[in-house]
Amino acid sequence: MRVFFLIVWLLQSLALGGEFQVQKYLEQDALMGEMGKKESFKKGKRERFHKREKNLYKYPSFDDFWKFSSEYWLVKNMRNLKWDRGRRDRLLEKKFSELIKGRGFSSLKFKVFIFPTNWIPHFVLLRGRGELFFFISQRFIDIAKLNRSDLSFLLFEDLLKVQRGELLNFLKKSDFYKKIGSEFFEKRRPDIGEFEKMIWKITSFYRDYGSTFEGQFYMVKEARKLLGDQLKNYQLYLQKIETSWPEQLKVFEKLQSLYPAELMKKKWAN
Amino acid sequence: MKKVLIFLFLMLCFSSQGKTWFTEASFTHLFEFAAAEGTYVDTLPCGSPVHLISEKGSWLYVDWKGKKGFLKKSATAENPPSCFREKYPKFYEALPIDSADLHYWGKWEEK
Repeated sequence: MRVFFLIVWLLQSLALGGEFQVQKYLEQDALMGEMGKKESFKKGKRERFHKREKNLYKYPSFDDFWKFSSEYWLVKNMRNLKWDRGRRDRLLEKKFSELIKGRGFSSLKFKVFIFPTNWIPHFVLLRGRGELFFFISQRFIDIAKLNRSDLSFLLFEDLLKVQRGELLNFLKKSDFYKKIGSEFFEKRRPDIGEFEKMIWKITSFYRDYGSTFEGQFYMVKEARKLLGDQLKNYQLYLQKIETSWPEQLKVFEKLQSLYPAELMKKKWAN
Repeated sequence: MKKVLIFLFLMLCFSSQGKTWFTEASFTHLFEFAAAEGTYVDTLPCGSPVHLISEKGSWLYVDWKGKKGFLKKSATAENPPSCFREKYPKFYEALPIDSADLHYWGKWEEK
């Protein structure tokens, strides 16, 4: 009898022990699950915070850089460019739109500004992909006696220079260009000195570098190919540029180095 | 019926008033009068929330931090815009932009 009770008691305690064991495992498992959830939540939160932090220390993307730095450059060079006394020429914009229509530039967004300076005869500012600001000096227009039809060809030439990537190729050598779109989280401070150098390089491109002989040849060759029925008018514009060249040289510094093949263009276009 | 129509018309006229608008240009001058040649009260950075009081042609008469003045409608947006200074705050903060720059920047936006 005693042995029977002993067996029953042993079996019962074993059964209960197992039950407790299972319960213990279940509880532990649930706890672990809960802890895991909390841990992954904390990890996610940490990662999100880190990503947000990292995002604060970014150099601008290509489009944002050009949109911002074109304005920055204009603001910093206001005294030389005198654009505060300039104006936007919507009629010329219309004329230029008509000229480029059907010539592969349908998605181009642009504005044209005329400003009273002899610092730079004309130039284009990038505003990101497919957006440009054209600038022409009133002094240059007066000297060359250009009407809106002529000016639309001048804008077309400038557009072809942008298409060839002359400014971008020139800037690619600067250290900041490689940083566009990257981050400075580790350094904590952006390299503003390099940014300033690049802004200065933009000025240098418009003032000293300009175009090359090959660049101008390419431009006329492309214009001749694309202008088709407008070629006659383009040649008339080139005639005006050639005639007024000595006068232009008197007013605009370094014009010869900015446009080394200006007097060859008419010949090439013919 | 007439009264209802008048009420609806007035509702339409004033529906945009009292709303919050945002400056969209990098920097925008808040003018004393609805004329770009006039004096300006302040220069607002991109994304500044302004309280619309009324509309006058291409101008908005607004309240910004207690300062009342006119903003060009083309320099504003009804929804918060994506601004360079908010997108790249640490880069923007390090730039040497002084008060003269702000003045010209606001002027540029008027073009």
